Formats: sequence, structure tokens, C-alpha cells
Amino acid sequence: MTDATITRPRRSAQPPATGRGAGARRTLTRVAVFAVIAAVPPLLFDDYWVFMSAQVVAFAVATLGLDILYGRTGQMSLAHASFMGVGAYTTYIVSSYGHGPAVQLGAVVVVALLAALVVAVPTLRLSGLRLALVTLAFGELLAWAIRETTDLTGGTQGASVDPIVIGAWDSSEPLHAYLIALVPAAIATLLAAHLGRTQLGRRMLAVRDTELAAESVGVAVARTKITAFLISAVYAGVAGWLYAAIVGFIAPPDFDLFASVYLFVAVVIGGAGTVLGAWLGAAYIVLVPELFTLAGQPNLYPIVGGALLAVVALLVPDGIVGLGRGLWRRIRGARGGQEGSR
Amino acid sequence: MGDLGQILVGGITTGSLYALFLLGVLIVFQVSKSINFAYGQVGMIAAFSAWFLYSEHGLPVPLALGVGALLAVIVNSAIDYAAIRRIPEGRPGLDLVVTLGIFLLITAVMQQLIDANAHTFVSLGADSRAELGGVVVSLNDGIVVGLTVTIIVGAYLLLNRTSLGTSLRASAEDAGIAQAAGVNVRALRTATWAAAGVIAAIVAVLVASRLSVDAFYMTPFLIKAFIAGMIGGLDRFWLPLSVAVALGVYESLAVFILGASAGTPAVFLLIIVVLALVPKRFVNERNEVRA
Repeated sequence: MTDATITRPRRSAQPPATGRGAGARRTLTRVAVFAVIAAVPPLLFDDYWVFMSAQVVAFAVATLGLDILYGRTGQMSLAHASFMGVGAYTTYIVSSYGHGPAVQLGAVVVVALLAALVVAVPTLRLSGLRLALVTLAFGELLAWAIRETTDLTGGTQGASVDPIVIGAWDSSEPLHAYLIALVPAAIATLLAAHLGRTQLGRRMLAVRDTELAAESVGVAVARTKITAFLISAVYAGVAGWLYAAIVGFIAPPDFDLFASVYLFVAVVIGGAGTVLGAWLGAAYIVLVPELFTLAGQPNLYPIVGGALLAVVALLVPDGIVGLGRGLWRRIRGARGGQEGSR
Repeated sequence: MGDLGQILVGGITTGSLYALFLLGVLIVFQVSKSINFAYGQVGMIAAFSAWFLYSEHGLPVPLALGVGALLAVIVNSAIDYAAIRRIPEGRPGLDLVVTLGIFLLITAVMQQLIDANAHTFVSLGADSRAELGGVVVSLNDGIVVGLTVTIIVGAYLLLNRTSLGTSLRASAEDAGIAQAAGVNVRALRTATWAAAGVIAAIVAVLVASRLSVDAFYMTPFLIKAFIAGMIGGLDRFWLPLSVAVALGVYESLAVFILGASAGTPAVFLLIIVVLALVPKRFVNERNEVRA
């Protein structure tokens, strides 16, 4: 029932937009802007802020993944941080056997996929609400698993993770960590941006906007949701891998329910459904708590986060990116009503 | 046999608390078609502030509990009034996102106002025990099961045997038509959220009296109640509530047979297996609305 739509050649799904030249130019501009911004921390910041920037890069991979699931497919996961935890702890265990980054990354992807399959396949043939509740239970399960395997994972005390070493590069150096993290993050960003132009990306949007209509035109709803969940889990796993290597220490609170909620806050505030929003969200999740700490008010961060999540989700559905777009349109006059590529 | 009896008593008591808590989730879901993720924290406000008032400010315990319950009612009604009602049509799932923010907000505010530590709560009969046929039962167990049965049966009778219940079921089924037929849908909705606030306060106080109180203790509870609702269906009445009690017994049995740490994975395994095996038609909510 699905093939008519799904196996259509990809190119035919291109939007009848502004012509290929303009699209390519826009992509080039975006890559250039990305490169310029990425060059700022190593050139201008001291070691500490480069270290923070490296964390932003790692978290961006996580928020991009959550954005694919929530922003584009409309499914809620309350265990996104737990999947980061799956990645981080897999990294820790694999590296403690002396394996290098390639094996670590492979293991992280495989374990994240397996865990995501267990959660997604039984639940996603049902409603999205059930997914949210099962992911909640998955978070509890991970916390339990870590607590019960102190010998293997360090338990509640946490564990020190060896840095990623590739030749002369060592992720315990902030600058190296930043540059090492930038490679997978750039790839993740490109893939996420490209996803919006693929059949799969369109199917996701259709499932998000109206499941019933999507089904009626032949979109395999359950399969699309499961695919989105698997992609988001792999993103989270890779983010956990980077996080573990950059920070060098992991503990269960890094990956608990609250951490998952903060990731949610990040995606919603940044602007669900956009790559830029995911990056802004990642910057928020790393830098804002730091700013509150510097201001001597670390306890305000969760209060502000909770209030922001509720208010932004209700009143500013497209987050900072939406606000920015609105402002941009106003500046350029009434022109440009159509949406940019998501 | 004595051991097994003890496990059953423990399981039924815990399961009753899940069921009572789930009742609050069910009535809210049926009347406003939304899930309040902050519901556990609403109960936590009642118990935690009651503890704070009687232990740090010397208020008499009954008065402190009353103030706590009142706070829960106010907060739960405010969540509906300030957030849930303002969710625009056609954005399903936003209730969960918004109440997730409120969940975080309440947790952080209570931590800031009181503290982040766990405290012993008034025992409410948890330490006066009697032996019945080789099984030790506490007064608290009796209170829990008695209150649960009374409130659930009361809610059932209210919904099914009174004209108020008919109005409630009508507005749950189709608010527009009910409104046109002269039912004051808004008032009923507010009353439902307020009643759910009372239920959350009762459960949270009972749970606190059996364990301890802090800003987080209701979350595992919320998860279990949601799981029971998910398996039994949020549109039904007796089935999800029975599942909640059964979940408590199942959990206790898992702990009894496999050891103290087996509860969490056993519950997770249960939902995955149930959701994988049960026919889709049976577990899909929103297809039928029954009060």
C-alpha cells in the first residue's frame, strides 16, 4: 500500500522552488557561515571556553537527533539523554578493553540501534503517547542497569573515560576535543539538513502533521516513526560517545530523566524542526547553566528551563528560529512568505 | 505461604496506590483529553509542603495536610487554566510537552523553597501492626486499601448513577454537544481538575508516609501509574485500575522471586511484552470513549 509514494525517485520530490542555482548558492552560504562560526572558538576563546564549545558540539549531535524525532516526526522521547548514556557507557566499557575510537563508535551505533529497536518496535505501532511513556521506563531501566553493575560501569559513583586519541590528537586537550567533535557534528548536521529534502524527511513531516492523512496517501506510519526513532537514538549514542571523550567523566545523573527534559527544552527553545534550532538549543543547554553558575545562581537554571519550556511550547511554537524568521521577514518587508528548507 | 501472603499484601497495597493515582489521571484524561506529566509533582507539593509546615513551622499535622491538599488543588487547577486550555487545536502531544516544563518548574521551585533532601514523614499508622493469619498488616495498609476502594467506588457511582456523572460523561464524549445541551462544561472541567488535585494529594501523602518525602519521590510512582493506564487504556475505567493493582502485585512478586533489584527491569519487560503481544485494537486509546 505504500510503494507508490515511497519508491518514487528522490529527485522528483524536489520542491518546485527557486531553481537549482539559487539552492546551491544558499547551501554554500550556509556551509561558509557554519565554517566561520566554527572557527571562532579556537581563534578567540581561552581553553575553558573552547572546552565548553566542544560540549556544545557534542550536545548539538544529540539535539539534532531529538529534533529529527520530535521536531520533524512529532514523536516524544523522554529517554534521549538515556540513549546518550547508552553511547557514553558503551564507550567506557569498550575503551576499558583497550579498543580505539573506530571500534568504540561502531559499538555505540550497534548498541544504540539495538536498544532503540527494543523500545520502538512494540510501542510505535501504537500511539506516540505510548512511546513517550515507554521511553520514560527505559530511562529508569538504564539507571537501574548502571546501579546494578558497579564493577562494569562504576555504578552511582560514575567512571572516568579515556580520551579519544587519534595520532597526535588527544581529546583531553580542549582544542583537539573541539576539532575531533566537529567532524561527526558536521556530518550529522549535513545529514539532518539533507533529510528534509528526501522522501523519508517528507514522510516524517506528514506523520507529524497529520498521521491519518499520511496513512491515507500511503505513508507507512509505523515504519517512518520507527526509522526516526532509530536515527535519533544513533545520534544520541554518538553524542554520548563525544560527551564521554570530551568531559572524561560520566555518571548516571548526566543521563537521567531531567537530562532528557533539558534536551527537550533545548530543542523547543531553539526551534523544533530546524537544524539551526538544534544548534541554538545545544548552545543553550551547555552555556546557560554555566552563565547562571557564573552569576552565582545555579539553582535558577532548572526553574528558568521549566518555565521556558512551558511558555515557549505554548506561545512561540517555532522557538528562537521562528522568532528570528519573523523578525527577518519584517525587516525585508512583506516579501518571502514561504518557508525555508527545514 | 506466610511469605507469599506478605508479598501479596505489600503488592496489593502498592497496587492500590497506583490505582488511586491512576484514577486522577483517568478522569482528567477523559474530561480534557490531556495528560498532565506534572501530576506526580502536584501530589509532591501537597506532601512536601505539609511536611515543611508541620516539621519546620510547628503547624498541627492535620492542618498542615489540609493546607498541602489545598495547594495541590490550586496548582492542578492552575495547570489546566493557565496551560492546558490554551493549547491550540490541532497540536496533539503539546499537553505532554507543556506539562513536562511544569514538571521541571515545580521540582526546581520546591527544591529551592524547601530543600533537595529526603525527610521522614508522619507514619499515618505505618508502625502500628497486627498479625492476621501469619501475615503482618499495618494500619497504614488498611488505610490505603480502604481509601482506594472507597474513592474509586465513589467515583464510579458518581459517574454512573448521578445526573452530575451523566453531564461529566457527556462532556467527556463531546464537549460541544454537551455545552449545547446546557451542561456547564467549563465548570465541570475545573471541578475535575480540582478533584484530581485532591486525589494526587491523598496518594502523595500516603506514599510519603510509607517511604519518605522529597522533591522527586513521586516520579517512579507516576511512571508506574502511567504504565498501568497505557496497558489498560486511558478511556476505560475498571480495566486500567485493575491493571494498576495487578502491576503492584507483579512487581512485588518479581522482587520476591528474583531479588530486591528486579522490580524495575521486570516492569519494563512487562510493558514491552504486553505492547508487543496485545492486539492493536485492544490497546489503542481515543477510538472509543467510555467513562
